[in-house]
Amino acid sequence: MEKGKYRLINRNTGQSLRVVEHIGCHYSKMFPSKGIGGAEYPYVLTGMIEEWGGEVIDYPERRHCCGFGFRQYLVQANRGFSISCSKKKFDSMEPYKPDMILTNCPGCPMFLDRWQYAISEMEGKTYGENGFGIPVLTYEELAGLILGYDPWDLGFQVHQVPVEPLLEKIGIPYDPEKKFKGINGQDLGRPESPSFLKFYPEKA
Amino acid sequence: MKSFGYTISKDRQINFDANDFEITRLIDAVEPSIMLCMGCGSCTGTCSAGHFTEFNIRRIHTLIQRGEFDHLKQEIMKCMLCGKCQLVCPRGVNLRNLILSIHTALETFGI
Amino acid sequence: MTKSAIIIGGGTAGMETASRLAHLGIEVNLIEKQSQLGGHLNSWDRLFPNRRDSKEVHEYLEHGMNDAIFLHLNAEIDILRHESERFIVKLKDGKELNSDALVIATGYEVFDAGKKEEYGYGIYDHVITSVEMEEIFRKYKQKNLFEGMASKRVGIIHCVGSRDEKAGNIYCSKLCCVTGVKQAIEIKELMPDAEVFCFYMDLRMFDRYFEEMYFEAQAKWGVQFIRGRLSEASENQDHTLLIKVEDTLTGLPLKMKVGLLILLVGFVPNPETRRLAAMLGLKEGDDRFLCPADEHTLTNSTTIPGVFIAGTVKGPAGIASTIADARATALQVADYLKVQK
Repeated sequence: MEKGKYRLINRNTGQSLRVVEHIGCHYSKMFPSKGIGGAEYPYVLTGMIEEWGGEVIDYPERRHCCGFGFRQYLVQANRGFSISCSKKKFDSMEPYKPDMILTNCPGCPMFLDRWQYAISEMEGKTYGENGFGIPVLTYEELAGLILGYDPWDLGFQVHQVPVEPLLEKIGIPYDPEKKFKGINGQDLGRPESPSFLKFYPEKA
Repeated sequence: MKSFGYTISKDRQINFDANDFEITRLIDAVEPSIMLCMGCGSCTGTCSAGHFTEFNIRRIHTLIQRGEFDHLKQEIMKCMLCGKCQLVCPRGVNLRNLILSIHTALETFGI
Repeated sequence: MTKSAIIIGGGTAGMETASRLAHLGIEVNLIEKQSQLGGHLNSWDRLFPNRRDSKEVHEYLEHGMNDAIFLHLNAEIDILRHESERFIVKLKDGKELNSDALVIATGYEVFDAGKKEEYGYGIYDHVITSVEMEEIFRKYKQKNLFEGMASKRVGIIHCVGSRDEKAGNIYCSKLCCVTGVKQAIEIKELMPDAEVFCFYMDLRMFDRYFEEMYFEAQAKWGVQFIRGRLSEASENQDHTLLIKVEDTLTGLPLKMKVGLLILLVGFVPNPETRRLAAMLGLKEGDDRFLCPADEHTLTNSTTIPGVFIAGTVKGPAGIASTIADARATALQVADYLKVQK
């Protein structure tokens, strides 16, 4: 904590950020004896969040799988089942108004991030505040932010759900101009705007 | 809305708090002996309709108590009111009257 | 010379064995670790199947105790020894007792529901055990049970800590099912507009009038029974509990919210029993309860001559059968002492 530059506190309200933690199934469901804090309430992400000043949210579908798996997602016919699992989680966490989701699995954050886009295109529904969605971070990304690395160096430009609202809440400075510039300042182009999920910058 | 080649699946979990029980309440009022059921399945085991259709009276009336009425109308039509279920019920549920009360409830609610 | 016996444990079994032995002219030392007699009998408000006040049974058992019994309350055992047909018991306060026969009646404990993390006991507010429910019945006979709760629905969960490999107990605790049905009826009596749901795997209504209680719960009180073991309980924002089960009779997963969740905790062997048994060399079963000398014909004696057992040290048992068992143990002790020199 000595090296950390930022804390998980909303600098506008002074309140701790409300964080949903999502543990990968491979972590403590498949190997319950190896999970820090046990299988039911693993402490590995909770510990990080609390140490950095955040507040952990417990909601009914906390332990539900995000739906990744391999056979489910990689085969297009089965993807409906996968997206429905993530949707069940989003619908359950929505009333608790989380500021972000923290994960410890490589597949889950991709899912929870991308599916917010897919659900918004398929059903017109967005989660989070003002249609911006709920930002999804891995613990490595969050650690990087806390330590003060530049968000674009950490790769946040490829997140489908914009992280800028979260950066503003924490008070992490970022340069919107540098978002779509690669190494050597070369312009990488702009992604197509989604129909419902809002995007930063709102103008191209 | 866009389509990506797959759809969001319907949640089949019974959401007890979201279900509407007015049909259930009417049926329970007309035939209160249904509350005695212990789920033994004797009725379904002997049911004539159950041999050649998927009609399962035990399952149907349990679903009614949970507030689930999908396909109830076409399923209940399969009962021929032979009365074999009522003869074997160990708890004394008046099953024939139950079936008739289901028909009444469906009519009352315009289903 | 007067024959003597030491009875360890002043619960239902200990009290009845003591009074029967004293009645037969045997000198009895009764050792109890708490400050009062009765053991778990003191935990229950009303007893199945007729829902009579447990205090009446306690009074009956007290009534049988007479001056010939030397009572040692707040007494804990340091060491037990067996020396050529005599038993020497050293208490932690330094006192030493000896006798010709020993009766182990140290009873049971209830399963620690906190071990089932997924049920939320000790984590969420409105999750309690059946024992705590009895306390509530005793203290709050007229009180509105649901004061401050967002829902008048009660969920009663069967098989908590029993029939569960993960909890370490694969046996059935036998009496929790009827306790659940009894409490369901008692809640409806106190609060007729409450909705009560029992979530079970099997309903073990094995004894006289138990099935009739199940019938009454459904016919008279509208208690609903859903066959499906609780998978997990989570908390909603209004502090109601969201429970997930499979409704096995329809084959569909089900979720509902309840205002209060009651966990029917099972019997587990008393660790003190196991400590004393180890000192004497008594045999334990795979379920960690004590083994009698013979499963059918000698259920009150052990493989060690002079050491007898009574009550729930052998496994789950109800009050009525424990009292009957205690009398049988007293008779076995008396027969044994008759042939001793």
